[in-house]
Parts: sequence; structure tokens; C-alpha cells
Amino acid sequence: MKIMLVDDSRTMRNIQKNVLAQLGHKEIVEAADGEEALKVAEAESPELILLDWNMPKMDGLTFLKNYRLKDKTTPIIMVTTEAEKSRVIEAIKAGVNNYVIKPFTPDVLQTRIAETLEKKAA
Amino acid sequence: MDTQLFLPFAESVQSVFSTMLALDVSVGDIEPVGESEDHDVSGIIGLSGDVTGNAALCFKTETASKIVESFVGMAMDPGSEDFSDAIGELANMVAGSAKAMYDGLHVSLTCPSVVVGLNHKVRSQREIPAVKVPCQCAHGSFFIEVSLKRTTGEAQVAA
Repeated sequence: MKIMLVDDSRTMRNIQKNVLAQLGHKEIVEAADGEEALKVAEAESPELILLDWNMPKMDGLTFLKNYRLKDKTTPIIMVTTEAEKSRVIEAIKAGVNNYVIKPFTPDVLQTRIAETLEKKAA
Repeated sequence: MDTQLFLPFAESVQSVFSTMLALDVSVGDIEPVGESEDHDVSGIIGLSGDVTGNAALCFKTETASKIVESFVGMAMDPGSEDFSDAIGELANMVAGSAKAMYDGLHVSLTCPSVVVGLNHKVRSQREIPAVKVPCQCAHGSFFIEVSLKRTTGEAQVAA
């Protein structure tokens, strides 16, 4: 399964990569902002996306709205410090499938990924 | 001074360091910044909206190096981009977690800026109240310097 990580922090992408490797996912593509993510998504057709919110050039919510114009089914998990209920609702309305609030433990990220993929498979 | 704006940072730094680095942080009394401390590494986040100002995680090089090593799992050159990236992400998470405790206020965060340079100071606008939060962990002591004022609304800090 090809997974795209979208986060302006390489540190955070590496942490997520380590968690994904523990789950057996090694086919990873990366983007550092929403603009780059749209291009990478077009070229790579990821099957799952982990998406940060606050990024330069294009934030995660704008990416999400643009991406969902063309692709309504690929699961997207928002991984962000934006923890307010209003933000979570805003993201869900825009088409996010699951939500992880930073800081997170590897267990939480693993659980959210697993339950998101289970829902996709159902 | 609106202490409700500053208290969440004491809680958020403990949460972020405990969750992401498995490090316990003890927090001292929050005190007004007279003259800023000298720092070697600072991760700075701007806040805007109903609350405006900035928050900075400020370290000496040795402490920052140990903290980054705990965070990313390997030693890094303090002059490298990846080192700054790690410090910036920690600052982002501390500010983001604190912001989440401002119930009913709409606040946006900037992407982090990181300053690396021996004995620098973090100075804020004179008219915005500034405090420092002394922190201590197994890797050494550091400060959160927070300069914030409310522009609208009444902050209710979530329990």
C-alpha cells in the first residue's frame, strides 16, 4: 500500500515513517506542503494520506478541499496540533476520515491508521 | 497581566515532552520577563486572532542537543536543518497544545521559526505582556518565553 505523508516537518514525517514501518508499510511518498502534495498525489496515487494542517504555501485544509474535488474515497488522516472541536468538525466536513492530535504516541497513530484502513476495506 | 493566557503553556510542555520524548518536565513559577535570558537555540511560534503575540522554546545548546536526540532517536549537528526542524516541531506542538486550551477563542499559529546562535535574546513588542516559564528535565533546564495579549473575547481555560 502506497502512503503519502504531508508535513512541513521532516522530523515529523520520519516519526510517522517509523510507525508505518512497524505496521509493515514501507512504500511511502512525501510532501512538505499542500501544493507539493497535490502534485505528488497526482503522480503517485497514494492509497492513504497522513496530512498536517499548518504548513507553508498551502495548508492541509486547503489541500483537502482541492483533493476531494477529484478523489472522494482515498482515506485521509489529519495529524495536527489543531485540537479545538471546531477545527476537527471543519476538517471532517471537508472530507477527512480520521484525526490524530499532536502530540501522539505511536500506539495512537497505529490505532487510527488501522481503524481507517479497516473502514476502507469494509 | 492575563495569566489565563500563559498557564496552558506550563501544562502543554509537560504533555508534549512526556508523550513525544518520554521526558518528565517540572515547571517553576511563571514570572514576568524583565530582561530575557541568553539562549543558544530558540523555536518561536507566532499567534494571531483573538490572542496575539509569540511563544518561544529557548535552550542552551547542550540541552537542546540532548532533547533533539531523544525526539528523533539520533544525535544531530545543531547547525543542521534537521536539528532546527526538530526544535521547530517541538515548539509547534507546545504552542498548539496550549492554544487548544483557549476555549472559545479563535487563534491561529504561524509555522515555526528557529534561531540558532550563542547567547541570543528573544524580545517581543514592548506593549505585549511577557513571561518566562522555567522548565527542568533530565536533559537540563530551559525556558518557555511567552508574550501574549488578548485582542477580543474572554479566555476560558479548559480544565
